Amino acid sequence: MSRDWTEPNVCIDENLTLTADNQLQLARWSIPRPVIDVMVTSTADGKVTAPQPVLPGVKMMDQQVSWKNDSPLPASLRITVTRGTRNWVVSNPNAIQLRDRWTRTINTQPDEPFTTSISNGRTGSAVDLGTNSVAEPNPGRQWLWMGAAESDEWLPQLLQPDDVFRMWYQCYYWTPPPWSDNANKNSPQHEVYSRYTRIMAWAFPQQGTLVKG
Amino acid sequence: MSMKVCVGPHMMSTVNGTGPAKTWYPQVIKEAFLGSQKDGKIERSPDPVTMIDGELLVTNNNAAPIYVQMLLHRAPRSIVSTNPVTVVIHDAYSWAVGENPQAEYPSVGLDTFGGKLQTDKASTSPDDLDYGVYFLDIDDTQTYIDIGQMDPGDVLHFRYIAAVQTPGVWTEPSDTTPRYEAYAYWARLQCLAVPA
Repeated sequence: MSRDWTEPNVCIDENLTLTADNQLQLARWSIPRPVIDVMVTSTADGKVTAPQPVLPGVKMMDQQVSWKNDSPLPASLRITVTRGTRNWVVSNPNAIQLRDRWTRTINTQPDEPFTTSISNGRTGSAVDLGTNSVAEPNPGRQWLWMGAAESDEWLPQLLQPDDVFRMWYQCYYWTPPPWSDNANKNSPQHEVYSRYTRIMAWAFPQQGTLVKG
Repeated sequence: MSMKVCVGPHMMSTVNGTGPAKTWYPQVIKEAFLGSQKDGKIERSPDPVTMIDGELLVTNNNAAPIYVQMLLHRAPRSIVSTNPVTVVIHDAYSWAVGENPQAEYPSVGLDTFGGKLQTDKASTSPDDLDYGVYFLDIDDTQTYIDIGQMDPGDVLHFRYIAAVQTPGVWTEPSDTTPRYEAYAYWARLQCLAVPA
């Protein structure tokens, strides 16, 4: 049977959706949402037993994470890297430095994030108090604590539907040369702790394709 | 063919369909990457010497008001100093919103990173100074700065400055070559907007 009237029809864009009984609702990807949350713990905290004068040094953390855009729309991504307290003890005249770095890609494998020439974070210290008349380093040690802090990165590209975001994080420590074996007047004390890094990502919604502007 | 329905701010309805407008979604609307002009060796600087100086202008071109935040992300920073000299990197920002805004010159000293190693008295003469060199590096840091509401047509003028200073005692040892260095590397500004 044909109808002689037109039923009013309202189409909706991809950020709106319908429930099973045809009621209008907002799609779950229409608001910012957490999509990655991984805690990485250091596997090399404690005493520094040997000098590490060559970059990148000793690996403390190594973690790969990924997320596939499971929505029908592009998404932008905000990465948040939270570094736990870093602390170290270093003896005159030696140096300890922590470096971390992450690489990220869309749909390909990221390169291993060696911290040799490029790094995201870098923290450390040295106190050089010189030597006495028989070339022994003068006594002297330094303790330092750096509080937890965050580093945000807004991905410059959009993730298209079904795109896979991958990120590889690593943290190292090394001992920038030179290194004295009889530091702190033959009583060397060297420790380094990076505790944890938490890697989070939030996906942010984009406008649909049906209604633009 | 879809029926056009009446919608309020941040929504759109066309013959194609109905949905949220672009202004509904949080987004980075503008950014700037500011590099340091003075990394490396420094001279005695009782007054701060500029390392990074930059600005970002953002206009609300939308029909609706937006709420704006600035993410200020600072690079890892480093200093090297020699007993008993202090080396610090100050940074500061300022901003103004309006039709034709002019933010004030950022007054240096809102945030400070740096250090000093002193192993003898401040009055010790160059010939008698103990040998002591201090190296300090810190990770990158960031701050989200709430700007507030920007009405249609409003412009945001945001300014940032980083400067190195050597306040207080300046005595150079006479028997060794002292090291005084500062590295600010970069600062990144990212302006974020959500519907007001």
